Amino acid sequence: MKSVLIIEDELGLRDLLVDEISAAGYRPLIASNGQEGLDTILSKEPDLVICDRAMPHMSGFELLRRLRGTFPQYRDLPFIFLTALADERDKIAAEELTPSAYLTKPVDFKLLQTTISRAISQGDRARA
Amino acid sequence: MKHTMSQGKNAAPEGAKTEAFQGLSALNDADSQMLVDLQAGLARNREAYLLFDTDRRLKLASLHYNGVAGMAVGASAEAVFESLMRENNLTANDPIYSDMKQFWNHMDGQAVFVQDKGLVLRMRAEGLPGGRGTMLFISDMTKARRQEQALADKTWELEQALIKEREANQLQRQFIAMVSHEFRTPLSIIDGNAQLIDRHVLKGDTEQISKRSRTIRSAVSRLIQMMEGVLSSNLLRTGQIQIKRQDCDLAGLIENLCAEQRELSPHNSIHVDVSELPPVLPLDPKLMTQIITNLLSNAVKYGRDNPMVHVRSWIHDDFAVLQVGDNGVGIPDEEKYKIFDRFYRASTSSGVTGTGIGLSLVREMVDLHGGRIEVNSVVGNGTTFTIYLRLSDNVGGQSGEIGSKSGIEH
Repeated sequence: MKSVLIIEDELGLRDLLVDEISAAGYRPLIASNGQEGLDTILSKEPDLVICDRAMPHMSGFELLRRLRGTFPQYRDLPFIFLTALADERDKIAAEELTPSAYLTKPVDFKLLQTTISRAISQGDRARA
Repeated sequence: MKHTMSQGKNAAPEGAKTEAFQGLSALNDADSQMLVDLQAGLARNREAYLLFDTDRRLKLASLHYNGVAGMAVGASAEAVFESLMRENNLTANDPIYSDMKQFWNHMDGQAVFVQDKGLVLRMRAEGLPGGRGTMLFISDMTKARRQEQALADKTWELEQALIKEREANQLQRQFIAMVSHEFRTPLSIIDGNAQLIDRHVLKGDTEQISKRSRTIRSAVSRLIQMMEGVLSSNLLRTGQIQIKRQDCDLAGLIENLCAEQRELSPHNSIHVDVSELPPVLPLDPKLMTQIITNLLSNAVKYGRDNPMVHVRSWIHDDFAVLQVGDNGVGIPDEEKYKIFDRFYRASTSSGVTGTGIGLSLVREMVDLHGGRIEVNSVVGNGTTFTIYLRLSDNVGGQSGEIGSKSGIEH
């Protein structure tokens, strides 16, 4: 079973995502800020990351920046931003870090599922 | 004449010839007429002049000094100086008097004398060819200086307005970004739960459905609170919200709002003590609701993992006192004075959703009650807000009567 790490500080939203991810047949892992997220990536090596941007301790943006800079071995780890920062400029700034996708809240769960399965198969192909 | 250059515009007055050209009677009529014309022409200049011979005696004075006592041809430079001082209402006590006297003694170069009261005189000395004397040019620059100052003031005002405008634009952008971000979070909770309900309906899982609808309702009340905050903030800024005192059951209001908050965040413990309050108080219940809701939701939001909130209210002299304390993240000392600014959020609030509007609202609403707000906080230990609400309008100039013109009903 593929594991999906959900990094989200908003409890209500994280619960929803856990529900949704489990229903889609993935094993959910959770973290509530960027630092916890980074630790979990390194220790549990998930198959995909869904990450919020505005969070305490370390933002999602900072997390991906560190991942890209310091941990090149995770180059092919599928990484999806799921954020309320819907402004085009925010999106463009994040695109420079080459996430697999940039989804804005509120998100349609069907779209989220499609994005997840596409990103996972892309990740598999890249690693193959 | 107080050295007003405007006199020069009067051209050559009658008798100018006799006054200005004493001792020049040897000139023939044509030459003398030419000098009169020349004097009249030069009098239109802003600059007045005095011509001294080698013995420092006045030979010629411009028509600006026409009729000034002591400006007679043949008078000593010192006498002319005194006469000039009298004309400009300057005495030996005046700080610029001695500076000017010194200039007068040497009659060399140029100097500008500025008096406290605003008088500005510029003096310039020019030696005549062959050392045959000295010509002094004197300008009253008071008006020019005043205009310069006025222009500088105006420029400064415009610059300030521009800075304000830029700040307003910046705030506006911040505000739009904040609204977009902050409203999306509860919206996505609502949307996500609605999507899940759909699935649970198919499965007939009523427990899940009722859990999801509770979450939706809590997200909706969060949205409503934000929306009301944004609206009130704008109404307050345009003076469209006024205090409307009436019989307010403050104790009941606090109890109810705390009960609502408990329902929204069951993992918090909220302690209330309002036993000392009388049944009714002359307060604005609508404003009080917003004040209490904002303080409560802050206490819960910044309460970290195990929020303990204490709400206490009592009467002290002519004030109703309300205290809301938490054991949360706290506010650094250097930021305490800024937290009531619109959109400002303390550094310790990073990662906690919020608009930065709540406390600015609270302060303005407390102001409307003629009250004040105090904050005690230790980073990592918690924050306590204490507000004092005046129970009558007759002290402190805050009146509920002003501005019923707004037409806004509470």
